[in-house]
Amino acid sequence: METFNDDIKDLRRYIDVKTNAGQNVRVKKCSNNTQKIAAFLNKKTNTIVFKEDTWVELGNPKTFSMAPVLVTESLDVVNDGAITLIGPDIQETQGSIPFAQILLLSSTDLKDENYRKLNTFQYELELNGYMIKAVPSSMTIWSRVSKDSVKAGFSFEILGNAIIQSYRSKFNIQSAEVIFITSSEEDVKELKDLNDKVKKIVNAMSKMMEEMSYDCSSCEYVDVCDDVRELGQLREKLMKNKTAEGGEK
Amino acid sequence: MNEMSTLGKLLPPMMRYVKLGAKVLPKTLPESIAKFLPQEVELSLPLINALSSYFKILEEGMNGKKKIIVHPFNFPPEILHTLDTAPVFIELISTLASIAPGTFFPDKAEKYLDYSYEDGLPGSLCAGQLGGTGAMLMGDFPRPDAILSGAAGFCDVNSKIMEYAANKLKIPTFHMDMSSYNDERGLAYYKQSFKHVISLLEEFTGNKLDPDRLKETVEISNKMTELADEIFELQAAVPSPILVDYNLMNLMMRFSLGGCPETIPFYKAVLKSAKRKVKKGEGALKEEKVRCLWLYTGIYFDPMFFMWIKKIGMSVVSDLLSYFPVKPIDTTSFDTMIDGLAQEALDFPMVKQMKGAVDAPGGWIDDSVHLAKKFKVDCCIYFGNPACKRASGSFRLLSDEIKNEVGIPVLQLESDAWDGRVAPIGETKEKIEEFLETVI
Repeated sequence: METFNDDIKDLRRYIDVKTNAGQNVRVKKCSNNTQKIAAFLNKKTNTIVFKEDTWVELGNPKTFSMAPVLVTESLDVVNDGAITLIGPDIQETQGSIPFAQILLLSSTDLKDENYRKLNTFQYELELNGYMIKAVPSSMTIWSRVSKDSVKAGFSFEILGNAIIQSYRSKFNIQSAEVIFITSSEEDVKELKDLNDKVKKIVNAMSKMMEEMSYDCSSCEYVDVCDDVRELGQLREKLMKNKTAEGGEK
Repeated sequence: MNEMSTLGKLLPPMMRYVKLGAKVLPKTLPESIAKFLPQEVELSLPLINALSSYFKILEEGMNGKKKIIVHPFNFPPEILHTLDTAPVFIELISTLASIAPGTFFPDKAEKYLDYSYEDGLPGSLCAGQLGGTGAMLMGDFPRPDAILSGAAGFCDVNSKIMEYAANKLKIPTFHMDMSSYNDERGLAYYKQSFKHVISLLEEFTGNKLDPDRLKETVEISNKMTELADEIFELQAAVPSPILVDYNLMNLMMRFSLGGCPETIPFYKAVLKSAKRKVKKGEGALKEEKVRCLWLYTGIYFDPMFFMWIKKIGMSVVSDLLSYFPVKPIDTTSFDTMIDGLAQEALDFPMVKQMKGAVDAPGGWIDDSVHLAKKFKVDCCIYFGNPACKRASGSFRLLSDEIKNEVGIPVLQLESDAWDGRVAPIGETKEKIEEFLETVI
């Protein structure tokens, strides 16, 4: 999938602009040492963070949030293990803040059909003191970080590490990178077009996978397919499979 | 009135006693007392108070002070309350008749269902609306002034029955349409239809939708959403801190009293009780033996069924009808509120999941898998409904996905939420017991 290569370049430019404008942009490297996040890993019990125990709420629907996943087959486009933060870190802010969590993945083995699962998997992350409230289909991210976990050192570096490691353990990916934006609602909204594009591609792919017929003239996603080459290819592949099975063409 | 049946006999004393209860009983209990009481008792006071406020509105409708508008469950009552009408979602009528104790009201909803069948409506339609229609046609429930039909696209049966009832009762009907598209165009089309129906309602009632009053209502609705959302997250606790009864109460509040201030003490009481239990590491049941997600509706025709569910140690973390993934509404302007309410209607349970493809993002399969994973349930149950052919027809897709993605078993039953004759309750209980014994 090469659809997002230009978007990833745009994202790099976006980060450069923010850096040059003097905004607080920090880059950390994902550690292979799991000890750093071990204290926060939670496999057994569900994490619940009460409102009064919340240090910070990220991406509450009253503000703006997004959680797009951009996939590419070009391995050099993704900075493996990079965790970029634009804006304050968790310990440096409190209350309710807008939030973007952008995941860049590269792999030569992923099938286009897995794209929807790649987008929804991030909602299955389970960490102590970190409660995800958003519904996967919303493709936004709304979460709470508890006061106790902040005391224990929870940060975007930890969160980024946990996300990258969870994706590595579940999917066959060669590199993964996370970008967090907490600076302002305007900064998050600047990437709305990118988020809308991801949403449309996920919806178009899902529709294609469940279609009984492939009549583009009546399809609501025909404009997306015109723009995204891979969707046309996926359609051809699905039609071939259906014909081979003796189904409707 | 041809012949008085369940609601004709039940409603007057029920309304009287609930109102009396709300008058003489305290609205809530102090924490020092509440913490020693079972959750059912703890919640009963704010519930009685909320019900009493609803019956007061209904009574004003019956006395001709407000226009009674019968609507489908997916139409946000906030609009109807702001327009000073008495809203009744049609499934409420069937449910009230269904939950009536059989010892005193042996007809339950069955006489209404039979009346609808005899009147020409096929038994393959939904008892949720057939029961309500039968009661209205028999004259056993207050005659509405108008009917709002707005379930086309996810429950066509509902819309058709509403149209039929309005024709038979010779009252106006307002139609809302929905696009099968799930994108911005679909949303824009729905908003247009939503606004059109509001203008028709304004004309019919003679009341203009006052922006200030709408803001008050929507702000209360937002508070409801916020509290209900906090409660929803607590269902993730093991053991579950909330009883199965809450699911039914929650949907009744949303569908009947959305935007009414009396709902707030109810949600606050549930949240307080659930939080207390989570902090202590306790569950709402004495012993939680199994955590379950009900994939569609519950069973409403036997009020003792929920008692039995609790007795066997089953926590029901959610069912489809009590799952409201709605967002707070932006109250900046009149337009943002109307748009927000239209979006809310599209996110209402069953609308969101059954509109369009069930395996589309955010459809029935996605949401069920998400809930099963989020709440770490041990199993799922689908009670079925003879009318919901698209649910029954696509159930296998859902069941397979839950087994593959979550790795838990799913029980499929053939029963009807409002009509005990489709599958007697004893048979349903036996199948659940057998499932739990052999699979869990």
